Amino acid sequence: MINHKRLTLGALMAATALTASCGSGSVAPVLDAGLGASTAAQSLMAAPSALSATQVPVIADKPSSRVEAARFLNQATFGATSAEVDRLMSMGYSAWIDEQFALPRQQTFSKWMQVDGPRSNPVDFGDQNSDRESTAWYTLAKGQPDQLRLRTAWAFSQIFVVSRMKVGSNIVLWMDTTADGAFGTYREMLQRMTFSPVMGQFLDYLQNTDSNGRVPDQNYAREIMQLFSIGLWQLNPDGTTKLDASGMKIPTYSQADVTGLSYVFTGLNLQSGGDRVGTCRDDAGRLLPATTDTNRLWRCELSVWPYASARQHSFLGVTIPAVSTASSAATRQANGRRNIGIALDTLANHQNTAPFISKLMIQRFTTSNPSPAYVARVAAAFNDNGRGVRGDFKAVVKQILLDPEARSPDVQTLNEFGKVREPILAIAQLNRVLNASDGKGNVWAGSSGCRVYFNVVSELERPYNSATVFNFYRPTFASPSGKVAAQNMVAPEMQITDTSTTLDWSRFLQQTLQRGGTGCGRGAKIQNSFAYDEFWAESTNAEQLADKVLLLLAPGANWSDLRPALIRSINSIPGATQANRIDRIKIAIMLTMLTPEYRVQR
Amino acid sequence: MSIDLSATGINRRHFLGGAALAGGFSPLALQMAASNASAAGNDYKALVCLYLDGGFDHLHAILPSDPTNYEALRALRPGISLPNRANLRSLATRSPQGGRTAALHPMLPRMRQIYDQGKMAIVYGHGGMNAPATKNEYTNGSARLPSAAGSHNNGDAQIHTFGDDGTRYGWGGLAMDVLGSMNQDNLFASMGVGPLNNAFSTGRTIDLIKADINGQASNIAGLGAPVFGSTVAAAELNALMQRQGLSTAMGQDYAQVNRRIMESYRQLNDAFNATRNLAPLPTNTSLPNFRTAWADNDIAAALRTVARCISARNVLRVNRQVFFINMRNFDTHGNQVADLDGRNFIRMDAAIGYFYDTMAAMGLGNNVTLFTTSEFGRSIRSNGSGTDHGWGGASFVVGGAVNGGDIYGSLMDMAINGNDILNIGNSPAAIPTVSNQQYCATLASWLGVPDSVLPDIFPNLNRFSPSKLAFL
Repeated sequence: MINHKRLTLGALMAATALTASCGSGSVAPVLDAGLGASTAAQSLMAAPSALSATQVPVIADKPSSRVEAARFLNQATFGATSAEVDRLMSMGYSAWIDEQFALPRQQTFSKWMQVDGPRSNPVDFGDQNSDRESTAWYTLAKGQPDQLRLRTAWAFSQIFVVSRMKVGSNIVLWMDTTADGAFGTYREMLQRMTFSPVMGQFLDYLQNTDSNGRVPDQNYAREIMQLFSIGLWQLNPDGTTKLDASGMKIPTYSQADVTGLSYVFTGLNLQSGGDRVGTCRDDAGRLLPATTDTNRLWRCELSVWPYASARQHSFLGVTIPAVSTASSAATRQANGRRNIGIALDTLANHQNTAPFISKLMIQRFTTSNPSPAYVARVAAAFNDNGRGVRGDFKAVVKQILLDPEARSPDVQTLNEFGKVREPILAIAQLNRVLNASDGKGNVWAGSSGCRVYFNVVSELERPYNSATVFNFYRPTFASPSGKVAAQNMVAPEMQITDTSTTLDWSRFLQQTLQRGGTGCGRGAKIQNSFAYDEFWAESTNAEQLADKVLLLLAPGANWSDLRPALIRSINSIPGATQANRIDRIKIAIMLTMLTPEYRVQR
Repeated sequence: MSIDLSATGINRRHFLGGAALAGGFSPLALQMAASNASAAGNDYKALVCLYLDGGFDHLHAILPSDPTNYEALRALRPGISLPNRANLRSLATRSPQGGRTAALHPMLPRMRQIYDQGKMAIVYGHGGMNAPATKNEYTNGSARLPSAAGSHNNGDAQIHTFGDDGTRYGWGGLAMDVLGSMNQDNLFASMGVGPLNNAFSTGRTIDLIKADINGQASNIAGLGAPVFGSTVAAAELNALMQRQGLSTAMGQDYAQVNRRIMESYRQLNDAFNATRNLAPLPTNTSLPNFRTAWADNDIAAALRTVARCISARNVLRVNRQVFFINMRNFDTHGNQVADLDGRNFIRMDAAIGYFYDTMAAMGLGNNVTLFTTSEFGRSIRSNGSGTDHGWGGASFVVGGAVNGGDIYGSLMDMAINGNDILNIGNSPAAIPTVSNQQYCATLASWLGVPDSVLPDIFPNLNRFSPSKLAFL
């Protein structure tokens, strides 16, 4: 993608640098814990960008305002709350992120599905119309303290895609795999992914083999390259596309590479046999007998079985050694595992991987159109976390969130900056600010019994439920006749923002606010109730209520049209009774959440 | 609701303008009669694109039925059970096929009938190609494979946009850019039903309107009625949503979608109200495969919504239209027999049969043509329970205007080392003999795009001869 506006952006960011202080109260995020100055400088120099190393703006570690704090929290969590804004104001960005990194995994999706959900609310759990898998996700997204981990897992789910449409309830295991891998390394994530029974089911490589005259299934071999690691086209370190002498894009791989790699992903199957037989443990950590029922084996990583391909193959110029067909089952298993390792190492170390994955991650957190310099800085953090570790997602996420392009208030107002907020993030945020709950610790998702909700969430963007391995939308999409396309930019989320789904969003919002809660089981039952505490104190004063709603929902947006409209609308309802005050809150939320000021997150 | 009342007022205005009928609400019969009367005079035409998303395995749908090629396919595809050859009825063809024959899979009985009636054509062996080339030319390197062949998104682009992935304009939208002057207005020139939009639908000026699959249309919630008791809030919301010229591009694009709802919902609501009873889907639960074929068939439901929009074309003020529907789950890497024989074929056969019958009953059989597209055909060899990405494929074209009952393109020789199969990186695939551009240019030409303009939409068309096929 070419974007001539980068010069403007670079200049503005340079201006930011001049006004920012380097005193003890502030820190350049690229220098933060573990990220060496040399790494950042190298990446900037390597990138053909408008910024030079001397122009890196310095962003204070303490938010400059509550709006800035809320803006950060809307990128890093499923929705800012006043309490979290206060905490961030006092502790600063880095400490907040480090605190999140240090939190161990909390409640898991599978535990909710197997234990917490059915025990706490057996009636709704047992309702045929309840969408349990989505409820596992909404429940944790709304209430769990490890917000940054789950938000990273949500980003992963849109890059390393597995869809519930194909794997059914096993999807909760994939939700956990993405959360488990969120703060590990990229290579570890490749390992978790490849050895995940759920990915094996989704991309068809369980029991894959080249024996008996069969050719191996190529699905995973193709998509792990195209979508999960290196992409179709060779990239520069700043994510821009390399061109050959005649100006053509250069493919990263050929069909022969797909075929070669497909032989590597053979021999993988559940742990009822193979090299990991008998190592599967249940929730309590007890070993499951080797022959136990396969349903329980789905939770454990795959085994390599002796039908791993014995033939020599190559992909991306790397030779995958042959294994003698005369060797023992144990040898063939060991060699099959070794060969998978060679393949995953090759992908993890490929020069495309850092810019390819970094740019996709940036798009999921902060902005659809990062400058090449921003991509280069995140890719540099991917390549080396400052301690020589490659693919450390903690370093990647921290750089994405603390990068001057993400944090500078001057950049934030630019045309290029921001992303269209996807329906799921909007719904998750509504649940958070209105404290949606069934009173038993759960946040129920919609269901087939509730058509509007069903349309908004299940047809479009039910969690971990994209129609294909290409996610809900593609990273290169822009509405063809729109301004974004005309300016050579992209807005991926607009691919699911059409006249039908946008109408459904408005109906969802009105109906859930009208009913005072989300979720619906049989009939028109409300499964969750909203609480209005977050806005209660402000609800008698129109200015204060408007400012609070805008602070939490639309920080960073230009409020000049919306704020006065909210104040006039709020003032049209007298503020005396409890019902009046609730209506005022609902009006302010509804108007805000329907407007571009909210749906474009800055 | 006040929304519906105001919609009715608009309805009447449009309706009276188009058909000179008096009265209040427009009864269905009058509406239908008006549409039909008008159709005779205004030469309505529509193309309906049914995208078989994932890579349609044409070899499993259009099976070789001569003994040599049937046995060759069977041998190449262990683990994918084929119908017994004795149960295959070879399709009659007018064009000579060199002794080769083919039969539709027995799970496609309605499509077989329509083919036999001469109203369905098969376009065989088409694919994304830069220029005509032989196996020898691909093998010796004098001809290039299309870029990134084999990836879903480029295969999608190579039949819908004729560019790489990310190309923004598709040939459906571009065709309507050319034909827009034939419509009273172009708000509904390009419509889609169901999830998953495609660049096919959008041109430089033409943009997509999405119709709700269940035939519901309304304004953005909160407009036209008090918002939580406040008419002020409704008015403020209206003013906010009507804003133009927002300062950022993303804000403008989001606002534009909202404005298109506000501009279109009244007409769409009128169209759906007027066609509430049009051609309901069967509800007889004793029909074969009732649940798969009808109750759960969102493709049939989407095609019914298309039929309702076509029936109400006067309300929508269009003479030329393109429609797009995405049918998922053709990426049959595994579990192919269950997914195709047991599910997709049943759904597709019922939906296409229903739509053909409905258009015929509306007297619009000759005015509406449905066609299928896909990214590519699938690999010649089985991977055990499915097939991988291939190259050349085949499509169906259905409608009264179709010169059907024939196969356009040559049935392939299934010999693995023969001239019709190319080993691409150790993965054998069918070499296309018809370009996607020829296939799609024929359709666009039928819709009315002049020959002189076709190369602007289909950039390599002039490399292929003939530039159009004879199925329309």
